Amino acid sequence: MRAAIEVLGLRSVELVEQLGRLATFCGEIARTLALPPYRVRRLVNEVFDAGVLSLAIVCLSGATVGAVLALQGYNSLTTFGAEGQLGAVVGHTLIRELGPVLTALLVTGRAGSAMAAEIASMVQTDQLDGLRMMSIDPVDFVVGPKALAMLIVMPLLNALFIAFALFGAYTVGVELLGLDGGSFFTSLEGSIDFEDHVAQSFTKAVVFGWVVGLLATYRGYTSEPTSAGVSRATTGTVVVGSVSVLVLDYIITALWGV
Amino acid sequence: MDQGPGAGDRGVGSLESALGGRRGAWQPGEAMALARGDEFRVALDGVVFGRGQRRVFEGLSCGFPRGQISVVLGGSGSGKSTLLRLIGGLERADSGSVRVAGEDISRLTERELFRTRARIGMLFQHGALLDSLSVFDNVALPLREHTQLAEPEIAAEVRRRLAAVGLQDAEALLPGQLSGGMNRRAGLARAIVTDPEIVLCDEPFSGLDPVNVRRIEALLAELNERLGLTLIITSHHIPSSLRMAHRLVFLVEGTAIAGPPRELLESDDPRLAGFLAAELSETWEGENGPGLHAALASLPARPRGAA
Repeated sequence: MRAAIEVLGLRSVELVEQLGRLATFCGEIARTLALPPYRVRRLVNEVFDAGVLSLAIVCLSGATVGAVLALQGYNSLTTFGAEGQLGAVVGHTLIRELGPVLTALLVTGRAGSAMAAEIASMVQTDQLDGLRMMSIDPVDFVVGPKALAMLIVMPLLNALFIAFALFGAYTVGVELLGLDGGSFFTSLEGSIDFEDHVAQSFTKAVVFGWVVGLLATYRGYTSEPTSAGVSRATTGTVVVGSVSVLVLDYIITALWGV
Repeated sequence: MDQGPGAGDRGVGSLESALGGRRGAWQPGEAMALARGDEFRVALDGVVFGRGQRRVFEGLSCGFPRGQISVVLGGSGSGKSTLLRLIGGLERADSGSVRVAGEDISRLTERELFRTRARIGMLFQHGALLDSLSVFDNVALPLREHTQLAEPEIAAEVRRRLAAVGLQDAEALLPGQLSGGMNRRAGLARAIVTDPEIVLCDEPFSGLDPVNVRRIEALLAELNERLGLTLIITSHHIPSSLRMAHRLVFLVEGTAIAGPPRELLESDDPRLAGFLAAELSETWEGENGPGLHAALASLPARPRGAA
């Protein structure tokens, strides 16, 4: 019993230490981003890597999720004779919840893991130490642009995901199942409020972008300089990033006041 | 031969006079005194360093004289690369001091270290070039970051350095497209492009063909002679080490034995005997006759730059 309590205490202390280091790292990134030099070219490259290269997976997933939602929603709504509200149901679900959450999970798996692996392999091959020996701060040169890029691309990819999901829902609902296109868009437009839905969606995407970017760069930056270290950084980013996104989604939703 | 930050190119005589005639291990503070007098550009004093349960250095004391080539030798795992990382401030000693250009870098913050590192160039064992940048951009990086040079001037300087290491045709390639030896040569070009005072080279000859060993050897010697650079090189390449070194530093059992090459080769110190016997017989067997005699015969009559 005592041993179990000791282990619990040890784990708690480790967790607090980790959180402290993560907060310090976060502050360090914010400092390097706020102060010159501003590495615009590197930022553009990172936005391309994290954003443009994620377009295909985000758009395809969005369209598929929208199509499935429309199919499921149509079946349920038909029971109550409310199939005309399909646009509203799909819009609500996508804009407030599924859009930001699924986009964040997809981007964590594709771009976040790649980011962590790249930084971890730079640790393994002394590239970050090489920068330090040239008096170049690796947080400024490597980490900052990556973290900021993730913050920038997440809301944009979220918007694209939602747009493609609505397109998928429209295609299934209107083109395949024969709903009226006008009703679909009228119910969608009537039920979506900017402050409640769009702003919440955008806020979630920004928070998820920052958290995923922070975790990916932190995991890579603090990885062991071994192949196993690269592997752990990548896996850790996906696992911790995904769970963090889901937990934060609940917290933001609860604080926003459903 | 001395143990610790010893005689440099001046041999045992100057060590003894510096210590008032005492022989044996250096006491804490003595290296500092010499470093303050600028005898050594780099001086470690009583450095203790461990990784996990393993102690790499147990009170390591050694010095690297200004403007000279010091070659660090030792078996695998003896801490050669770690020594360079301590000097570069990439690792922190558990205790003891590491003085570089007069500053105890073990007490500096990371940001303060950047100022000191501006005087140091380092070649890593595998080059440590940034994967995402071309060879040209890798070598140009320190100039772009720390100088106000215009791009044409940077380009000219980078091409001059790449030509010096024989990579003039590789400037557009990415590090992943280079061989191990080419990576190291590009890393060397990057390490010296800002003309630092101190250059640390971790195994610069490893994996190079004989032509390129000679090329890099000549380049380093030229830099040392022309610019008076302090070079600290770790190596397994005994012939190059003996040709180039003003001073050898052997890492043995967590401590250092240092001195001019001839003196160390003739030493009867049992800690050196095993390492030297194996290395020298392997290197010279069948070439100029076995072992020590051939090694001594290969030593230059007067080290480059020696007074």
